[in-house]
Amino acid sequence: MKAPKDINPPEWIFTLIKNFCDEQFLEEIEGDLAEVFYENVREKGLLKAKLLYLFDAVHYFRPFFFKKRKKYYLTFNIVPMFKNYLLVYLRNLKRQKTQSIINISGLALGLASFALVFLWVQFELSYDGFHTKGDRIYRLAGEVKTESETFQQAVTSPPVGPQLLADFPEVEAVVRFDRNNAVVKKNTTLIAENNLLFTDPSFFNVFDFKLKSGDVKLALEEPFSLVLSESMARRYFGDENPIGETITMFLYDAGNQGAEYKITGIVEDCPQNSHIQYEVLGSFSTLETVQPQVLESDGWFFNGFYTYLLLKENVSAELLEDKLPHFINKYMGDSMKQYNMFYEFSLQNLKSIYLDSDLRYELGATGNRQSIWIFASIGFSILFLAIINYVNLSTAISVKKESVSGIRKVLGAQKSHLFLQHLAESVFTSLFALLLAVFLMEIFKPLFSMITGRAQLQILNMQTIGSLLLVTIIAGLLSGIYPAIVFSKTSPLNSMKKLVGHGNKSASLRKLLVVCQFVITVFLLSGVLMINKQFSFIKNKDLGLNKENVLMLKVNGSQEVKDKFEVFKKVLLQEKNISNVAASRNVLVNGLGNSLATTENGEGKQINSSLYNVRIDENFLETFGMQIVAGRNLSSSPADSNAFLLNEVAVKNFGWQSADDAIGKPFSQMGRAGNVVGVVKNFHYNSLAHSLEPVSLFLNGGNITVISIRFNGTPKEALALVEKHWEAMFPASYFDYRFFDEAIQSQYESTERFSQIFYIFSIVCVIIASMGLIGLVAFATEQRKKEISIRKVLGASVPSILWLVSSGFLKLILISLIIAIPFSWIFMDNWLQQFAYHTQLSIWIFVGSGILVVFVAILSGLLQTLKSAMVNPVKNLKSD
Amino acid sequence: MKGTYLGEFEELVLLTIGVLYDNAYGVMIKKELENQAGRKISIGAVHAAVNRLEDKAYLESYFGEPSKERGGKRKKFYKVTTYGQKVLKESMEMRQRLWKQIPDVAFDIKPEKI
Repeated sequence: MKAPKDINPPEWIFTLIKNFCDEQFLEEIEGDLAEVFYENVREKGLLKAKLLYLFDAVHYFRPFFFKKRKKYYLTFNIVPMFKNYLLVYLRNLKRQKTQSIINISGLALGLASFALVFLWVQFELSYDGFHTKGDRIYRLAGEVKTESETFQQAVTSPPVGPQLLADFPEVEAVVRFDRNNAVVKKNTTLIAENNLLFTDPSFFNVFDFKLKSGDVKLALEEPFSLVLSESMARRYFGDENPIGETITMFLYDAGNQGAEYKITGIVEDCPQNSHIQYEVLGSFSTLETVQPQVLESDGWFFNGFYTYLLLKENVSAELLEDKLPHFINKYMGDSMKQYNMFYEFSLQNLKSIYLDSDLRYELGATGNRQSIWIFASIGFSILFLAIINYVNLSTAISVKKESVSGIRKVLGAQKSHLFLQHLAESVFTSLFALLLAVFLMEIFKPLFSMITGRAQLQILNMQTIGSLLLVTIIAGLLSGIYPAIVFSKTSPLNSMKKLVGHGNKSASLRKLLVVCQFVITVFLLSGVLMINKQFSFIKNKDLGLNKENVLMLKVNGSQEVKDKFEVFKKVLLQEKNISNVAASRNVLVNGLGNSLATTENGEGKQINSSLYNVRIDENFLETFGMQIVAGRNLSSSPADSNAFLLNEVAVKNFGWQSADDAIGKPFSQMGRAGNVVGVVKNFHYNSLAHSLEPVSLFLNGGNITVISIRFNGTPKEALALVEKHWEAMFPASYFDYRFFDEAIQSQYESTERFSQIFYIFSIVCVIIASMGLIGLVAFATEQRKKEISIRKVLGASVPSILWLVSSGFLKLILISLIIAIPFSWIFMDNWLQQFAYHTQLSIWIFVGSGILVVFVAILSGLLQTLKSAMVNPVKNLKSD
Repeated sequence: MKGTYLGEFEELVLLTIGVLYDNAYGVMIKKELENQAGRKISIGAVHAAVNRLEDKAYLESYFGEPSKERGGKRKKFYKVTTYGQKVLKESMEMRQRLWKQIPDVAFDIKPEKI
């Protein structure tokens, strides 16, 4: 038989009892249980004894044995207590300046970034939310199917809306939009207005845009009526009442002489968070009067207008949607068959348009739900990083503070008091941080608004401050809870003995948190490098044309420009710095319009297909540096008026064998029946997010809208030169210019915004993470300064000491790299997919961001370590 | 009588401690109780009872020497206090009074001796 001392009761069970059982019972219970256990081992065997031990142990789980709270707990006065906490906190703040600065500013930076992102996300989500009937407002979107493609567009034709209103009792009202740019003439000055919306009188009934003065029912009734926005009215008329006045606009005018529009009302300025943007409203009846054919049967295919429906209450949009195919068939069926172009309609709820819709020809710039998610997570990550810093630093300095906690305990503080004290401290810290954060936000607000392209975000309002305060306190509690647990648990004896190696448990947590920080940092940094790489790809990608040194002038419907273009061209070409001048109907930016074409495929069968059009003149290709791969360029001779050029994609899509094979194929589009005379090398006419589609080019024939000029020398000189000639020749026309490369660049505006926000927050992340690292290294060296000094005395070199202190952190950074790479790889790959043409991910991006992080880490750690490694060992060793 | 209420199990524990005299500690009390009452009793129940009785001042306790078979822990011995004895006695007397008042015809049996 074994001696009892070799077999012991299962320790873990008793540990369990210890956790809940009050101390006064413990010795008796442990002794008696042990006695019973040893007896059981002798009589019933070890296994059964253990089971019985467990069984007995369970019996102690009853309130009677639970830990007792001391009665005097409740008699404490809370207010002086917290006063004391604040006092002690402020003293510590003074004593440990570095730690406090790092703690507060880190948290402030985190809070400020989080709050800005939060405001931005809130703004994006608030789009179109202010319309009281918003749930019932739908936009009619069309899907177009031709033999070669299917696409969805935001635009519909003018007759659809009124016919829907007439046919379906479910529809309460219809609003159409006709979006225009026009030149406005005020006295003798010409001003280009880019945000004209011609619409129906029901506009004010359906939407919540408020008419400030004028008659709601009649303001948009008559043709040639205008309703100005308040700011526009101020701009044009100052403090005068504009109602009843007229202004001249070069839009829907006979013979391009300008038409008189009568001002019938003033509407409030369009809210920022509306996808429908306007400066001026015009009456839709203007269009119907000037071009009555839009309402006839062919008008059903004039897709350049937006149709919004207000449904009656309790009407299901899905049910209505189901009835639309029949409706289309009834009114467009014959023509659809004839054109071999088929339409389907769908309904988009007003509130989902801004974030979820990304169709062809959107009314305004749309947002992106994905980027909202990305930035919301970045905002949270930054706050998280800042909280991690706080936890890390405060647990790191716990050894110092532990003696304080120990003495408090000796003086009668309960665990719960210490817990509260530390929570209170972290909440104090976060409140200080909030003050600093609000200050930071006010400083960075203009920058942020500029980058996001949004109006000033409201920071100092009750709602924002309230929610910020809530977030701050939660962040304070979150960051305080772990240190509070650690401190309140310390036994007074150990804390005052300053046991070596105490706090090892929190050291591993600290390591984990540092890894978390650097995972996020590496993730963002590699994102920045990736985005940079894609941008340089965009910049250097061969677009199939020469985007440099082209100046584009908008004609804006000016008759004198159209009439005297040839003379203008001749004058310009006499300048030695101007090499080419071309007139066209289209620009090669932001996509083209498309229409139906008829040709034959590789097998000689006739097919219908939709192609994008560019209406050009004979100088266009040369001006833009585009190349012919087969056949010839168009000439100005009348014989070429029905000739077509196609791009290489079109040749491939039609199943023709080669570019040479394309020459001479029959081709008709836009009422011109002719042949293909040449094939143009593929060129980009939209951002690289879009893949190339078939394009046809043909002679414009008079109605020009853009004059493109290729120049040599600096853009500034060229601009001055061209403007001089323009002013001399067209005194009555507005000089509306744009450089082609800038126009191309503007296609990436939202992408650029996205990347700028990404840059800034990555920088913030790196700052916060390195601040945390500085704090940790500072602490580690502080703690080991005696060790370091002794090592130095024994002959260690400065580099070896540097390695000793920093190798631990470098290891952590390496681990973070390994974790971060797969995540960012997946994310970046996803981001690149939005570009039809994109660069490749490469391992060098991750190596680069890794090196950058290590570099920053070494830099921030090195100074600290160096200081302690260089110091005279005697200094550190002579104290106590 | 609320203050001096004595539960059935508590009364048994008190009496058993009296029986054990100077060897009354947890395990012993449990064993003796099991012998006398003929039922299984968990050591936890004994501990709860003795500690509660101590709170009520019916018992007093003292620690013995640490011993090996208890894993180096001391035995906690219990002794019935004078107050405890008084309460036990009151309880017994009350029962006797009640027994005496039961009419002969009511019960078939008579207590053999109390």
